Amino acid sequence: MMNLLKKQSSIGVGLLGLTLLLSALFIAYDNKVLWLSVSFVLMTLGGLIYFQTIYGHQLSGIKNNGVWFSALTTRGITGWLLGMGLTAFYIAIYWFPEVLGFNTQGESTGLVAFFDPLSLV
Amino acid sequence: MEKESSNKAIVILGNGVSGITAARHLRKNSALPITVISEESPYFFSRTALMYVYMGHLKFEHTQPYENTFWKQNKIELVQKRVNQLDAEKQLLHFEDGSSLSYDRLVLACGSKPNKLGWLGEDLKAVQGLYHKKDLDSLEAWTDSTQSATIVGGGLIGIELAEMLHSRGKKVHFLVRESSFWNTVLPAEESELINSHIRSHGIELHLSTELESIQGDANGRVAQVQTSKGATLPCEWVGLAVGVSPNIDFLKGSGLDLGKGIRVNRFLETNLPNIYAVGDCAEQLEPLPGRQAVEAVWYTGRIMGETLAQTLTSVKTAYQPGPWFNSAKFFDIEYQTYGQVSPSPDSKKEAQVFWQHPHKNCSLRLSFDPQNLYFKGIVSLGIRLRHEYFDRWLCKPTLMNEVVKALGQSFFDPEFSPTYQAEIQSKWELKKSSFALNQ
Repeated sequence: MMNLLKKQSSIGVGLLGLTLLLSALFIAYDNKVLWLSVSFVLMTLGGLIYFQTIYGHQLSGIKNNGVWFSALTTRGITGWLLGMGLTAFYIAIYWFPEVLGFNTQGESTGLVAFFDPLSLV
Repeated sequence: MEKESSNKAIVILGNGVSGITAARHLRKNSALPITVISEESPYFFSRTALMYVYMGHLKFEHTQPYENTFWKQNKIELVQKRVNQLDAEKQLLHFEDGSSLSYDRLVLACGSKPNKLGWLGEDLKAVQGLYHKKDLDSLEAWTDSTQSATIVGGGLIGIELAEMLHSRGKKVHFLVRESSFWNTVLPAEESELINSHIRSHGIELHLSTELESIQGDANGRVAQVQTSKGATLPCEWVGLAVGVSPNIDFLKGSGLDLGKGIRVNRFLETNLPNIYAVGDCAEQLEPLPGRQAVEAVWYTGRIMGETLAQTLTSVKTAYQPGPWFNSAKFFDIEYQTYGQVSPSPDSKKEAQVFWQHPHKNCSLRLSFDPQNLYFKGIVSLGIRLRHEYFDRWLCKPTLMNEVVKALGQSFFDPEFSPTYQAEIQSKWELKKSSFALNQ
């Protein structure tokens, strides 16, 4: 029960970070460094806690159990959706970066602008 | 089928690794008509991978090493029927459906069947072995309605079944007759390491315990088992894994010389002309020194198939499997062995040096001749070894000094894995000093 709560809240924390990141598509944040860091920290933390609840109590070894039973890993509906989503994102980055706020003429906006602090590091 | 084919038609009974290897090599070397008969499955699959289908690592079709079109392309005719009887005089195989097939030369590669020891209740529903494809199907069918399972027999199939059922969230009781897992083969320390590994996965390991009887419920399905220690274990599924025996019942009365298996000479020839046997079902009339008459092992089946194909197409070749080797996986721990390492060595003939990692599941044991310090064999847990090195060191007498020095190179672990060369080397130096002949 405790574990389930932990697992679900870790998913929540991670998704919050992701939502924050994606929200930059529509919202122009003033303090980009702060919000980018918050988003990264939330996603990393969520991920770490999630994997800890899943694998923390397990013995080390190769973990392939059930891979062919899950739609996500056997080209089922969720697998296709995830694959198409990721592919679409990469198509946007490579061929249509302006969708994500890239601007050759002036200041970039949206998601691209949100990541500006990284290029200044 | 009539005898219109050439007088060299070869019929192989069984499409396991032995029969299929024979068929492949016969085709490589010749254009002879080849027919492979199997009731079990239309196409060859890797039996040893069945467990991974159940655990969701693979789909069944992934266990088939060749495309389904391979057989037609290579003119290997496949017949999916069950043979009931062999008429050696007329050179005919009779099928269950009443039809028959003639042969000029017959290769028996009919494999094994799981042992049943006559327990009370062994024929109840949801009591089974794991050997055939249909055993896997049956296990899959019982799985959803199973909460706990009892597995009988502390061998390789027993521990596989324990891992399989455990991977699907079942409570597993594992009954092992011996006082420590597989200690008829594994030395004490290795066996103990596996015991604790099994337990660390949450398996109820019952050592020195045998199955007494199995009781069913109103529907004839297993409900509980009694152990020799007087315990009653409720369970909805029982796996019997107390070894296998050659599958030869249908050959009784055919005139073949049958013992435990189909008796063959070093050329894999039976007592009847034009009939050969390979793989699990073959029993060597004169076993090679240090080897069993029946070896139900993947590798030996493959070597027998290859050897016989040579005999049938070109040069009469004796079965010569080379140094013994085997490998397995006990949950997360990989096991490999080459040569001879006895669980309880005769100190005049075999000495051993053993190294174990202080906290990881890794160990290495080398055995050697105490008289001349020649390398005799190795057992590894959690360390992968390269076959070619040990094959070479065993085929030609090699001093332990030389083996230990080059041991690191023989490891097959991923890049940057530790080789423990220094630790093993110092263990050996220590051991060596107690033998007079070491200068």
